[in-house]
Amino acid sequence: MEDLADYAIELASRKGAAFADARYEKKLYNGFLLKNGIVQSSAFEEFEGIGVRVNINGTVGFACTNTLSRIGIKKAVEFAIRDSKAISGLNNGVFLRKSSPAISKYSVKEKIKIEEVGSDQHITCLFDIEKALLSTGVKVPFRYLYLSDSVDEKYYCNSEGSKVTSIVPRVNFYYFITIASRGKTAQRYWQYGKAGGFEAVTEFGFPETLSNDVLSMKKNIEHAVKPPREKTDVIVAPQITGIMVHESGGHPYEADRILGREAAQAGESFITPDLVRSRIGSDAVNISDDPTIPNSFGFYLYDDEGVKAQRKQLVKNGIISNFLHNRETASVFNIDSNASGRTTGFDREPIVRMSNTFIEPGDQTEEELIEDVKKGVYIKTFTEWNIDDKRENQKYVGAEAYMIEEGRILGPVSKPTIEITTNALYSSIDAVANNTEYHAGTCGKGEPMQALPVWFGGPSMRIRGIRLR
Amino acid sequence: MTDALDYAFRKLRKVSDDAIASLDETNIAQIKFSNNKVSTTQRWIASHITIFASIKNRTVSTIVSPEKKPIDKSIGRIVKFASSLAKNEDYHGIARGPFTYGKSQIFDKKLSKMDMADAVEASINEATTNGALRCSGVFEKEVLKITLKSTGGIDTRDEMTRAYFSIRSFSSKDASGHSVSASRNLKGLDFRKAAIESSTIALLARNPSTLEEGTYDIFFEHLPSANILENASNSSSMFNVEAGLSFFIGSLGKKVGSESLTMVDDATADWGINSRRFDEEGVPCKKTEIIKKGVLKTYLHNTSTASKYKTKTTANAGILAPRAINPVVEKGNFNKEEMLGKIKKGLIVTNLWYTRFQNQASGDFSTIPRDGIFLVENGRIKKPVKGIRINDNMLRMLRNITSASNEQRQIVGWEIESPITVPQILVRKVPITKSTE
Repeated sequence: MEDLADYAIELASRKGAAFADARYEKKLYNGFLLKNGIVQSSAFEEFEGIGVRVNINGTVGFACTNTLSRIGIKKAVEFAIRDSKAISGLNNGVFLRKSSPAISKYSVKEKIKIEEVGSDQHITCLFDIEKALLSTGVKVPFRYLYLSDSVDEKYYCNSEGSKVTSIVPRVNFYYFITIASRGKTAQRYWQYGKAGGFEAVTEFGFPETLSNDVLSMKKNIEHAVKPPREKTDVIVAPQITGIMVHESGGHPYEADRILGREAAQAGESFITPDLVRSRIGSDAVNISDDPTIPNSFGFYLYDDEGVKAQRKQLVKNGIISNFLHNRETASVFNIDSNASGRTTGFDREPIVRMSNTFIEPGDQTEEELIEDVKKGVYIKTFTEWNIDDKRENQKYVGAEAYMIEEGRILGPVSKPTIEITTNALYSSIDAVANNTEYHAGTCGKGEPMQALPVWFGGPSMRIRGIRLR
Repeated sequence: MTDALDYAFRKLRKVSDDAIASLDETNIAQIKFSNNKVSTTQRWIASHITIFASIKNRTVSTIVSPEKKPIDKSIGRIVKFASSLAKNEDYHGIARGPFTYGKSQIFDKKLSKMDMADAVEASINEATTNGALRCSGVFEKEVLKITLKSTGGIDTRDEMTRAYFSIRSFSSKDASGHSVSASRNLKGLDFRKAAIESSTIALLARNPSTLEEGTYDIFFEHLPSANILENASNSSSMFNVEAGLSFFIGSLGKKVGSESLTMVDDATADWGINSRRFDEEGVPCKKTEIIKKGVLKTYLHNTSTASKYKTKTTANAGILAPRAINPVVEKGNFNKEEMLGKIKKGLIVTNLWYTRFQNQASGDFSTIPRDGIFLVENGRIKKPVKGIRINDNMLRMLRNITSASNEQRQIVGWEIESPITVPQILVRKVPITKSTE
């Protein structure tokens, strides 16, 4: 199919595009759902097509097709050019930032090849988790367990001469369970994912992980006390660090939000271009985004605009240092793209996205962070969360959480809730530990929606003197 | 393309006990704009066949390109897949036809051929003339053809157009307003109204103040009303009830909302952006009463879930999960001024964002008002406010709807993935919190 993508570029250039790129993509996907112990309809898909983008007269036009013939490609190119020319009176004068031509082939290795794993093996994994949940003796009336995997094969080419081929397999597991005890219920959901082969399913150890989750939630339902009302110290474990950094340490640094391109959809950012080199948090706060982490869920070595991937430090010692850019936003800022242009498939435009976003670790252990708390709360996992569309006001509700007194973890706490501004949150972090974990998520942005695999994470963090609800 | 569907179906019925094959042919065009300029144009030209097959009660679904080679490959894989699957004990068959269908959906040639750029430019001009500094949004139109065949003796097709316009206006960094318009035809799209409405809210929202935490009576405009009531519609799916993803579990025949809340699913309404002649297994769509005067009358079913619970399908397939197709919340008797007149101290909320549940079975959730928020005292707007969060329970909120307006609107939005038609609603005693600084 490479020849068809190359043909798209040649045709677009011939028709006057200042820049053109094309992405052929074939995604093989398998999905299996076990609901309350019953196998539901299983699914597979081979999603294949070509997306082409033209930059013409200061406008970006995108079109895609799954008709993989020269006639289909010609039609897509002509639509992209015709549609973008039709709005020339409203063009925003964007010229996609140039980059060195990239020639590369890369792939992620699979110890156990996804394509060779039968549907029975997937179902067996789900039944193993189901059995483990039921054997805890805890009442779990609703159990929704979903295992999927995919192999994403891409060929990217552009009018600068870039040709990048990649194969990235991924494994993904999501659960949503309801735990009941003493007339009350609690719900837990979480996602696990990484790039690689089916071996990841065993490595995650789902039966044990979910059993422990269920047992701790039962304990929480039965014995938890209310969180302290006065200002208190809070230790958040890596899962909460991860969601915090994703929501308020990653999203606000996406340059397309900063420029208002997503204003009617995913929103804007409290950050403005002139805030680079301004303080956003304490010295302990260092935030990075790195797509090159091996086997990460957000892994890539070239982005979906053919730019070589790199680690980006967004915040250094509490100071804003960088934004995430694709070719379009880089052009507006008159800098080079830092390879943050991603798509969910051939049928979507590349927009600015996170990959694997994390708080960088410190030197202390989590135990040392806890030892230095006289009275506080340790939050291990969370449930409901949200944040406003400028990323200033956020809320995280603890699921598994415990009281801390004189540096010791005590009994469970019920739904400790952090509701705080971004500035107050990052300014109140006085120490970060060295126990980095990465967690998988599916991040939504764009219109139509593009739900992309990402990791978010970091170590445990100590947040001093904040109010819990 | 239909040749490919026929080919797929012929092959499929040889290997399956039950099978459905549906060919979708789409041509979608979108203009995305921001800061009063076009950010990008997008075009999707796609055709694919969605397949469901049951082989000895092992159920498999897939999507395939309408070409012989991929069809052959996929059908071979369906057989292989099913051979090593466990039985789907929740599967109880597909619909048996043939059926008689209602008229086709609206296909508007004017919409399919219109100049989209002109409409976007005129809307931006309208909003900026009305005082907006900048606007962002999308205009999207679609031509869709669906052809469906099943081993239940069903062979039917439909053809439709639909379009959606969304505009968010800003009068400052802190002050914005959002409005949408959705229709099957060009005549039904009101670009001007959306542009004026979004920019008017943005102007009124300038220089917002902070607000004290507490409980407030809230008048929800159409966008946030849709955001809330979409959750009630989703909760009525039998699949979600079985998965713990519903706050209507065990509520059949019980009071789940106030007298002011009546919701139907009416996929026969030709103006509904998602209305269809038939559901995803080919059953003719119909009008189903979900909630009547606050009482839950039915869950939504496909043939399989209906058979499991010894009832009839409500024609809401989704093969895997039944879902509302064109949910409509009944309008009330009051206009906006009359409803605001009932508020001593409360708020007008014009949009919501990031609605998330703590417990979907109990209905505990929070959501964030976005765009213009206005403090109302004794029926009059006092001032714009900002930085608040609604922390409530969905069932409590539905029971606290004191009135619905006499103006319904079909809402499609970035946060409202399943279109829903709603009136504005007044909800009493809604808990409001804000972030610590």
